[in-house]
Amino acid sequence: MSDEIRAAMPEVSGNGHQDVREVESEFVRGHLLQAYGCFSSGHKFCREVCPVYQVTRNEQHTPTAFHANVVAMEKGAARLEEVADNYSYCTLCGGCELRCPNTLFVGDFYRNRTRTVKLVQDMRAAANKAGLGLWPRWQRWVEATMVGKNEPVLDYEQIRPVDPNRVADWAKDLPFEIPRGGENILFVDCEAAYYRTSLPKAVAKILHAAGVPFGLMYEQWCCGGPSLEMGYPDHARYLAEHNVADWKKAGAKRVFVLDPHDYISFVDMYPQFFPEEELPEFVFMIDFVAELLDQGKIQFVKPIEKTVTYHDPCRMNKRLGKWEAPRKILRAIPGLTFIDVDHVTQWAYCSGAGGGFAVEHPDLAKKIADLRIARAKELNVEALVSACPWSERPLTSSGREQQLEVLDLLEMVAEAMGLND
Amino acid sequence: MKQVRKGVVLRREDLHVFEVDPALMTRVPQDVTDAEQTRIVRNRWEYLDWMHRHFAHNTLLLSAVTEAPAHGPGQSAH
Amino acid sequence: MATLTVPNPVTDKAIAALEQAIGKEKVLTDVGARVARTRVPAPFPVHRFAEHMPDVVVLPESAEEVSAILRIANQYRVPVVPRAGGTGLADGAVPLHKGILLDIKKMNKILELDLVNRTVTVQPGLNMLKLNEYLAPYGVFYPDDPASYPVSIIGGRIGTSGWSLIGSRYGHTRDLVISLQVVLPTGEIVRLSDGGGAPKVRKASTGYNLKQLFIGTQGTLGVVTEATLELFPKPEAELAAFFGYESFEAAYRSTGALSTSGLGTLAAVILFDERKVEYLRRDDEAYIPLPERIKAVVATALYGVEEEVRAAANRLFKIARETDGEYLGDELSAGDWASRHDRYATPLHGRLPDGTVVPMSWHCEDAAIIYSELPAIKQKWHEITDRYIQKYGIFDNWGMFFYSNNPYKGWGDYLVEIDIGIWEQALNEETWQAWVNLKREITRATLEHQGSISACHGACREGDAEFIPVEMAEGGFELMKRIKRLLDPNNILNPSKNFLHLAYADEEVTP
Repeated sequence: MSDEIRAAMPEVSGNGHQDVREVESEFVRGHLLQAYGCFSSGHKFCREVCPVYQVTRNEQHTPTAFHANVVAMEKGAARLEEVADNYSYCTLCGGCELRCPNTLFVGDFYRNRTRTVKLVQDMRAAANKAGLGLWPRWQRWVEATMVGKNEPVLDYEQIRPVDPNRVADWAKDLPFEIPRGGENILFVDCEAAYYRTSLPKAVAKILHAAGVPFGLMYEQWCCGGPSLEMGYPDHARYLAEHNVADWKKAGAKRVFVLDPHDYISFVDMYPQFFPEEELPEFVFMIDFVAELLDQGKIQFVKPIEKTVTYHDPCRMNKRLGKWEAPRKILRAIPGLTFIDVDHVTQWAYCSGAGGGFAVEHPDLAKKIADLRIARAKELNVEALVSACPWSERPLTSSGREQQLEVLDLLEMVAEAMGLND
Repeated sequence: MKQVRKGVVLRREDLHVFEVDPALMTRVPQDVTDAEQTRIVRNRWEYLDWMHRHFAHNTLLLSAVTEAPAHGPGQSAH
Repeated sequence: MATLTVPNPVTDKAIAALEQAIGKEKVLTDVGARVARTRVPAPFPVHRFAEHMPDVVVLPESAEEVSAILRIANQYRVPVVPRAGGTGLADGAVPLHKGILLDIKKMNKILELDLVNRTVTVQPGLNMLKLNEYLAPYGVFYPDDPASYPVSIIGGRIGTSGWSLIGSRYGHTRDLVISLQVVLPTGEIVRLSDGGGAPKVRKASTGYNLKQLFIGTQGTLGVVTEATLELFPKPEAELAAFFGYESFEAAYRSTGALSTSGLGTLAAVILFDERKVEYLRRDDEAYIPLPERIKAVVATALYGVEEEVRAAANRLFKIARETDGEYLGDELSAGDWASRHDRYATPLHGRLPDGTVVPMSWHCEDAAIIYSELPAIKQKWHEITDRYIQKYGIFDNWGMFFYSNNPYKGWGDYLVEIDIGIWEQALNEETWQAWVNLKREITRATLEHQGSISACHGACREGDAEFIPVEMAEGGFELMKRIKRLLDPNNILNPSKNFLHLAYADEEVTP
């Protein structure tokens, strides 16, 4: 990070130098009861579901270890700075906390469930608060996000900021104009706005063809989710506050979301920062397309002659329980042969892209993507369809090595609607 | 909220899910929202179906194979 | 307990030797690596957490690497504790004297699938659910089904001589393992089969049946590095039927009738006592609506070819009805059977005497006891447990299960389980000692009723281990000690487990 960029950064607190013992005791106090909920269970049914464990086979990269550490800290057998780095070995996919019997079998009865995603995020934040400096790439990523107002997705090597003025460049060569503001806002996540620009184009075409009026934000910033996931909650909030203000200015009642990571930030993180009534309704594009299809407002006119399988985005399937709409859409596309792997089996699948994992541990993230592609290959399909732009970059790269095409579901919808002709 | 038996309540008729009497949860917080609770119950049934399929091609039910009643004592069709 | 010579610590020199032998990246000394491998799900003296942390963790990937590790351990005279899934319920993988923790999870390759001879050869770090996902497209199935099925791994199943929930139809781990590759404590790599050396032959009389000797050693005699396993056709049909009874006595009689029915597809008969049903009616949604008149339950499960299962279901229903069983319905039967891995122990099932919920750890007693003694043992164990609950207030009685315990048949002896919750957060030395004393009383009752201390978890813990010489008093334990000393002259492999430090009591051996 150059001094120039550092100078351009806004002042956001949260990357501090608080005494590590203080941070530790606060952390242990906050998580001890939950930790015993896991430690005293020992089922470990999370383990073979965990994407990171599946490639490292190292018991310390498991949710049970994350919880055991808290008990060990309480008993003086470990110190926060000795175990904190383990918590970077997580994609925050949420498979573990869903598969945990404390959630899946009795979470409804006691109305208390395992929350490993929160535990991991909180530990990352605690380590940063104590200024442990464990994850320089995350730090640079968040700093670059502060400068570029969007994630630095165009430069994984140097992690240089993107140009915030180009966040809507993807829309430039569309055959129609998209206004700014309005009741319906399309939110285009960082990866899609700067890297996989074919995706927002496809979504804009779908909405346009369906006759749904929509606009873009005046100035769209990163949703903030990745900053939270990398242990910078104050930075996340700083970004979120801007977006909420922008929506307010636009008069937004409904925000269309094309990326699962944005979607979970909006429905999970934003309500922790803002009162419900200040937030618009968030509509996941896949759900919306399925609805349009049901209502006959869009038609699939062009066959896609391919045999495909589908990758459930972790945040939709594991953390929000949404898995039906994409399957419905795939089954409706003419010419398509869809070989499904059920969503429960896919609790154990992941692309490796989430939770900042690919930024801090690119080699292991690649192994996770390789494994996902290999599983798809076993089905003798021609393509793996995903509905998450973050997953698509690593999967495409592994797919290239293993000769398997990777497609985006919404882009396929635009194709099947004949919008690319 | 209906007391089902000692220590057990039925709060959500829509989901028909039993819950521990909140009076007994003084040491453990109850922070699962209704939406999460619905998702957990649904996921559980999906998981149980998955586990049946994992162990056998076909899951037979005693009531379908013999004259045994489908519903046991105390259980209603919900 | 006999005094132990203080074991040698793992020195920097020993660590350097390990790094040189298997590579630096597979030798871990950081605190996180060690904390994660300190306990298993069995009740743990959490107030003495640090005492059980290993000094160093090694993650070998081959028999040769395991061999190199064991040779180094012999050279430096330091303990090696093998760890598989770490889901055991009797401390087999808990380091009693720190030392080298040998974690086999990286060894998870499937080496050969032989569909013609119906075998699959695997490394021991593979999980059964994952194996069966791999096998499914071929229509075959590896039917080793413990409660820990979604997570435990084959090496641990062999190390403990595991019990399977559907073992009365398909056999248990020891019946499903055809042959083994084992690294002996001194580092030699050997292949052992059932009465011979042919890796895919299930039964032979050529030599000693050495395969069985290395199943259930709790890692005290060797480290399994490869296993050839039995494959069955994936069952066409599954049927679970749960029956309710108005008394334990009726359910007990019905259990006897069902388990001696001779039905070949009968995979399990499980008897729930009154306390178990009471507990389930308190904490388990499936049982909450059961009327009070239902005091005990018998669960059964059938697996096999569809025509067989249908016919067996009719016979089963007839026997249950004739022995005063009332069918508990499809939803409870199918749902609870599919929940069998997840259902039985969840920390929030723990209740303090005033009824409030706290997270409790799970003790699962697993004695093997003959049918005639079940009612008596039930009474004794509850009496013991309730006495301790009353006195200490940090335990909870979750009732008892009696599972058919034998391969290919329902009768004979039963895996008898009392489930006890322990509020770990409140443990201190006094309450921990109380817990161990509770365990001892339970074990004594087991022996008084001609039972064996453990059906499947192992007898490694305080409260169990010291009674092995009592149970095996007719020369068995003496023989065990001789075998241990013969194979592990320096006492490096999982020292002091199964009370086997006594094997070295008359000579100066460290550790």
